[in-house]
Amino acid sequence: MEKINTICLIDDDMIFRYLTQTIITKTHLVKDIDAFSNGLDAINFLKAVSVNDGKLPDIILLDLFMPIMDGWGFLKEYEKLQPKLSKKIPIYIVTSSIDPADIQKSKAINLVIDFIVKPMTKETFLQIMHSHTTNKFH
Amino acid sequence: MGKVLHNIINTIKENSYTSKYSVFDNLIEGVQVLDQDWNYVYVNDSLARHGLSTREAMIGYCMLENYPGIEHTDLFNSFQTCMDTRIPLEIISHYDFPDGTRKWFELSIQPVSEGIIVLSSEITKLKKAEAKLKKKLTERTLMIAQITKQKQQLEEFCQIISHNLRSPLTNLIQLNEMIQESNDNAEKSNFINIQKSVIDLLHKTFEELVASTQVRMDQTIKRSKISLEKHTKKALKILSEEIRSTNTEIVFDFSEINKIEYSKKYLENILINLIGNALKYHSPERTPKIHIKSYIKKGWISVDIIDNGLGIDLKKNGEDLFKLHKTFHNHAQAKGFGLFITKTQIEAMGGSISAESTPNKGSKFTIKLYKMTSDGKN
Repeated sequence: MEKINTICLIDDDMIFRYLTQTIITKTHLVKDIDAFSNGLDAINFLKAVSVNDGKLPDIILLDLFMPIMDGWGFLKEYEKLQPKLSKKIPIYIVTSSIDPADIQKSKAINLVIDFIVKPMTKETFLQIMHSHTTNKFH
Repeated sequence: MGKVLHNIINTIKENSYTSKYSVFDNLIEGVQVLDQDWNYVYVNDSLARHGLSTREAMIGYCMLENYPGIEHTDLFNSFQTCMDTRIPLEIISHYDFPDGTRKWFELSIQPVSEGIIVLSSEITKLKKAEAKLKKKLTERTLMIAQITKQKQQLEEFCQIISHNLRSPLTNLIQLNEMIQESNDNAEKSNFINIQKSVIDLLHKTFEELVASTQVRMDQTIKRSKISLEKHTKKALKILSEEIRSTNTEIVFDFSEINKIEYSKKYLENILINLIGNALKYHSPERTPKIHIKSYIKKGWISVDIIDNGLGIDLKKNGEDLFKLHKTFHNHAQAKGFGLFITKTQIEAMGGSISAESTPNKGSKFTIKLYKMTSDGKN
């Protein structure tokens, strides 16, 4: 499978971040992981590196329910930011929500490639990587 | 009705004969003619029936004597107005009979040479139906409000299941897979340690959820007349160690309202939680002060708890402040814990809680305990 440079992980659950980073690292498919505990920190990071193609993540994994700025807030801000970015980044929602309303809402947003319900197992992550390399988003 | 009466009166005027009002004898509506001194000149059978009397007991007698106290009624006022102004009136009014029955009438009052003539239809049944309908409508409105509240609570509950319980559960599934796949003993033992902290948190969240559900389901919770001051003092006594060690100044004022009808158990929990929070999140930069005050605003018995502590950034945390804490890190002080139960207890007693806060200035929690009933009772 094709390797990628950076994944951006946005989730307020510290344990989930730690476990997911461990899983990703073990696959040896990703060089770097940028982790953020809320949408605002992630948006600020993307703004800062917006023109630096090398530092922009190749994939964003986004949680929905977070304090300060939740996943929906992030998507709204990202939509405004995207035209200024030097590349298009595929976003995967990764959430513990099983609310059909959340799934419906995210499907209506073009930026969102898929809606993934936790747990994030190794298998799930490999599926994301597979869909990413076959769809060739970069 | 007035027009009919007017036509009949004209007919009578045209053929003036002695018993000129006998044309009304068999009318379904009640008819009475009163002279300037309120003596009955004429009444028909229907009117006598309306008046719970007979024609013989009325004609020639004075209304004021037959119906003592009638001079203080709205009904009589209307009669008087027509008698004085000689202007016809149409009104809906009632009369309370000495035996306690209230009858409602639709009345047309017209001046005649003797005094006034009153044509009346009894509409008591209609009025009763109207009152019944109004009562039913009020009941319905209350029921809809209750259903709306329950729906909201159910949505809140579903959200808790989805986020507060499902999140740690998915972490456990993820951990379990990682433990099974790991060949490194040190890593395994690290995962098992994390697993324990997730299980502890899941357990705590679960217990909290059970406790809050019990509060909502508890139909037996009793209201009794209790003193805010007495129970605040009790809460302060329980928190005395924290107050002493933080050197906190506490002022309370229950002069506006002290005696309330509330659950003793809940009031104590609420006060201990909120005052306890104010103590816990005091600012080390200044002498901690807590001000507790009760008052009545728009009929609501309310209590403010104001501190000069660390404050909370409500822009960032406002929505989550009273929710079950949803992040699952290993903080010893999970601050969402107390506020969620506090809010549940306040809502179970028919009240609400809100907060205002400025970071590094302090916080103000306002509890609306309950709304006083309109008769002024607590």
